[in-house]
Amino acid sequence: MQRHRIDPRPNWQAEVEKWGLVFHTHLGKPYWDESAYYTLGSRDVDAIESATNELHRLCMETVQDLIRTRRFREFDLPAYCEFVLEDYAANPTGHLYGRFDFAYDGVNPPKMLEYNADTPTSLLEAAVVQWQWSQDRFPGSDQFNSLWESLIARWTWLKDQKLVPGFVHFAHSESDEDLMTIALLRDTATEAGLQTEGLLMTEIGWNKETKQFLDARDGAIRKMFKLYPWEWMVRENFGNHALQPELRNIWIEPIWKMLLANKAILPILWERYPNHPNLLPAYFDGPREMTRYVRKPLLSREGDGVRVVIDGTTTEETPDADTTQIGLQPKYIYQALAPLFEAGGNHAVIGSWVVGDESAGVGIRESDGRITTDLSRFVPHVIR
Amino acid sequence: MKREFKLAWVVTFAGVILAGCGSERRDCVDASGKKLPDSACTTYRGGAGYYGAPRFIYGGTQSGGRVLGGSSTPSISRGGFGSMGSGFS
Repeated sequence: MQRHRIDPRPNWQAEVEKWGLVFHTHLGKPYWDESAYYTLGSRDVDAIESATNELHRLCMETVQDLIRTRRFREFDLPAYCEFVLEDYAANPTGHLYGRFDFAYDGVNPPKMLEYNADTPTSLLEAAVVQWQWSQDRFPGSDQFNSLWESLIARWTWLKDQKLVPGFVHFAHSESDEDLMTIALLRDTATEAGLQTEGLLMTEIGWNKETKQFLDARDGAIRKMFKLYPWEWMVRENFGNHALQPELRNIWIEPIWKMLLANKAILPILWERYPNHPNLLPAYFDGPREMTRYVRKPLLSREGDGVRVVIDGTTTEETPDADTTQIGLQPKYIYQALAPLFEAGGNHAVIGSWVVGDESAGVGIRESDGRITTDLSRFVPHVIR
Repeated sequence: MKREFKLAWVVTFAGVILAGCGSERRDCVDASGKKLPDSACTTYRGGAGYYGAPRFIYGGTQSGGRVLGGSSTPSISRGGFGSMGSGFS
């Protein structure tokens, strides 16, 4: 794995907008950063791919055991979710995709930082925009990226297994990034022969007489992909309706994904698979013997509420907007600090995609510090 | 490797965002059809289905600060999801 400097294309904003990346600049700075790129060797790709498949397999085993043994207390869930989760052991429903975040220095095995299994984004830039960049700058080059084909194949499989009907609704927030993520997912579903309709989460209707969720035209929703976290949904006004027996299977991602997206999964994985080469030590009750560690809230996105501690000193910290937003007292896990790939003051985190149950490529985010936040930059890569 | 992306929705929505346009028109109204700020609907915390609750109306015609017609009905409530914002991670 190497980082290289390169001149951005002179009209790079227009080039990436052409492929849908309209959120290429954030607070006046590039979010899409093509002033650099990474090269991954085949050894890097093999290491990331095998770690992704292995960790996803461990996560799926773990979530089934958590449900079977009713081990939910560490996840800080509303109690009524537990009964719904128990249902899933007998009635699994189709899941679509997820993204591991890895610390990978190009030498040691990739280490799992977290699993964004419920609402992963940075999909458009990973699937489409970095590919187009690679063909512009290095025509004929290859990339660790099969996201487009894998998503079409996954939708096709879900349709063939009758886990989705012929029509799927897609709900999202008002952010441009979420809208464009949904747009890409709708395009892949369309390619798989599905009809789609999009709406805002706030537009979802509830008909108290027919006990149905409705779209913006009052049509009944039979299958809904939602780019909106389960831990928020279950605490909102319609959360109870969403988990009624006749409606709990309409959702993609299914509710058990909230267990994998919750940081409580990290100490549980370490407890189940101690010293696994792709896991970092992690604990609920404190840092124990660790002198270099990261304190993470159970529920947070985009690096919210993360604290990096080295030898008793907090070296980096971000405010916790997420947990306080849903009115909870923050609960934390403590995970060993893993070295990130670093070059010229840029710290890289590998976003390793899973579609269905298989590894499907990577996107690389860079930050000035060790915490990946909404200010972190997406930097493209090629295989060389 | 040759790869062809068919990006109908991506291109459509990118164009909408770049043009500064919103999606389909909707209005937040009270029980009498009087227009309210969108926030009255998105932040409403009353019981689902309460007749007087502010709700979004889709389509319809506008006249004198009111929306006539539209697709919502009193047995339907909206805004029960989505109060937290963006869900990305």
